[in-house]
Amino acid sequence: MKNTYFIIALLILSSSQIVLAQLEGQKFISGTASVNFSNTNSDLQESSNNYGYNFDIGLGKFKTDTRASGWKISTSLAGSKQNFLTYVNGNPINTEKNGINGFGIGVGHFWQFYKHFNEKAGIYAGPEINARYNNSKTYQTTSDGSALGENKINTLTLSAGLSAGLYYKLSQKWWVTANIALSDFVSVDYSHLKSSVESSNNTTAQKTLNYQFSPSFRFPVVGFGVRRFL
Amino acid sequence: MKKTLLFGIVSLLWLSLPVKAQLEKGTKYVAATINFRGTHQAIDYTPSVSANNSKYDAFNLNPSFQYGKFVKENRMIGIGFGTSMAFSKNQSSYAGQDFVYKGNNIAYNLSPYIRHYKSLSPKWAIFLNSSLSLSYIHLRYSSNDEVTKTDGYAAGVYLTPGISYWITPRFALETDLNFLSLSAGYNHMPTSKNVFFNSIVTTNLTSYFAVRASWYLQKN
Repeated sequence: MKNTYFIIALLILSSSQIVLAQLEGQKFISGTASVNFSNTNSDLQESSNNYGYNFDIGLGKFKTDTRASGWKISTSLAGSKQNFLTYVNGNPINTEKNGINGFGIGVGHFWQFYKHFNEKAGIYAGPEINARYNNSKTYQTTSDGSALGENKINTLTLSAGLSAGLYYKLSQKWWVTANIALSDFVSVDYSHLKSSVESSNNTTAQKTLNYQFSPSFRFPVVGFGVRRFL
Repeated sequence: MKKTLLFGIVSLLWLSLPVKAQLEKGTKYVAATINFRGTHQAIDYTPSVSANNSKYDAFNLNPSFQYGKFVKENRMIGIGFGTSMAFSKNQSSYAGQDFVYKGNNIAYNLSPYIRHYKSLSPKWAIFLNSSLSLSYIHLRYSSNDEVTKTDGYAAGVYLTPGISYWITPRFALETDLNFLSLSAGYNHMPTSKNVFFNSIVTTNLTSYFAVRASWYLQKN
């Protein structure tokens, strides 16, 4: 009988200090990927399409069992085939624009602090800093429909914030992660927009600087990611 | 052996139960938060025939402070003071004539409140804030030195839950959960009057939660 109590007591004590698999020194690679493609075939107009991808790759290392840090690289690319109808002296002219019309690249550094609930799951949270460059080109017909206008936008964004997530261990090597909260409490972005109309020399250059400080957070649309230990 | 174990388990339970000295009668409470954002934009037209270069600047600043005192355990009475400021300036020229448009809008907000806390653990607590909000709104527009001033006021009652997280025994971070709030009030401006009643219960969690820095100052 005494033995049983002893075992129960041992269980209670040990359950409060679950022996976790050693994470210290372990390296991991994590990523999310999205690819999209759409195609429209209309009877009256020529076919148009849209395509693009977005890859986020992170490389991190556990400094201790509850602390990790690492780098994040993200790239995105977008392209399309579009048709624009303009009228010159009442005659319709179709212009086809085909090719890559946008790309983005970003680099960031993150620090994560973990709380392991049990052997399978836990939460993490920590600060991150990010720098991102985006470039895009869009077209639209002018308001009178006589010409095609072009907008080129370059944007540089610097931000610092906090992010938090959940993890679930599928196996020793594979984890599934989900974002639960995001915050960009400091951000600065600078963008340069240049618009021009094809048949004229008129251009408009617009320079915008935005900055903000906002100690707030939001719950994002939950995004899942996978993590592989190396 | 049994007794020892029982005693041990009970004492363990006691340890894990929250002991919240911060929420006792007499504790003073000070909290503050601030957010700001700005935009500066310049538009250049080439060649500059009829329309010339134009500029747009905007700046928003929203500081707020709270002061309170616990009148009994888990119950605080306090007052909040905040301002919302929005400044904008638009400069442009057309056909050789310059246009300058300025807007300076300020709202002063005073809100006495009663707050009930329920502690969940030594580090976490939830609270329910019932407040009366009184605002004075001052709008000033100028278009090429022609000034228009408008004054108005608003009053409302708000019931908002929130969460506190203690980083140290004296310092905590707090946020109001606006997606569960109830409010009713009245807005009065010279050209418009409106009565509003809002009950926000939503599962849309993507909204923003402003975080407040708060200090719980005990007497001893």
